[in-house]
Amino acid sequence: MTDREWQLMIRQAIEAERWPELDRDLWPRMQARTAAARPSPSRWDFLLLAAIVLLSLMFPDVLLHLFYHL
Amino acid sequence: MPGRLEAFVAGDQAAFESLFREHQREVYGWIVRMVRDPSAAEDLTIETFWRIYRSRARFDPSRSFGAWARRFAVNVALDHLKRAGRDRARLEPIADADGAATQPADRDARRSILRAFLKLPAALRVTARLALVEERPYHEIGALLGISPAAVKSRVFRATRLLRRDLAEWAHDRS
Repeated sequence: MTDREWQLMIRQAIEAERWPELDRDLWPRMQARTAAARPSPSRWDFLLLAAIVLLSLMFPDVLLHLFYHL
Repeated sequence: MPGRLEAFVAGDQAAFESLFREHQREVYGWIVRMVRDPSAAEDLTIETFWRIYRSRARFDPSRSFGAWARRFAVNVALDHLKRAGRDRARLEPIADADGAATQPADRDARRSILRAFLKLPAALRVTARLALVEERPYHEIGALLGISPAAVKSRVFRATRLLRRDLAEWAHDRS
């Protein structure tokens, strides 16, 4: 058999298979995937925020200096 | 006003949703034919679009979205096949498109060819499918798989040699 005959034979065998079409919308699953991957603040972010608030309450002058330099 | 593809690159969810809905069936169709598992193909379709979404900043809106999606789909399917290994590949052929009209001898021949094809290593199988079944040019397959046209040619040659070796006895009986 020639290469072309082999190719045709393989092609016919594979193309003869009938696979099901996608019969539903996958968008809701895609949406859930993108939503789940959005970064959410970790507990360290909250701890840092709490520390800043606490420091600014204990030493309000620091905030003024900070704003001045910003 | 930017077009849909420009909006997608900028991270617009509505543009992504529109592209997803337009291309999901096509992407699923490519994947299911490669991985031969409808359930896994749904998960891999989601994975493909997830990779597309994450890489949106690299997409050139002047190019075809379908061609870009195809590159992701092929690589997602290939990763899955490599992970799953040949043991988990679905070996039994599914229903023929021409069903009862097919002669039993032809059905047996198809099954033998399919079994031999499914025994190929994943990278050879995917390359052979694109080259021999879909008849895509080597440079295009190379771009899809991230390899050179010479490497594509080598894979097709190796796949054909393995198939011929596996089917030698059957081909001898046939001739």
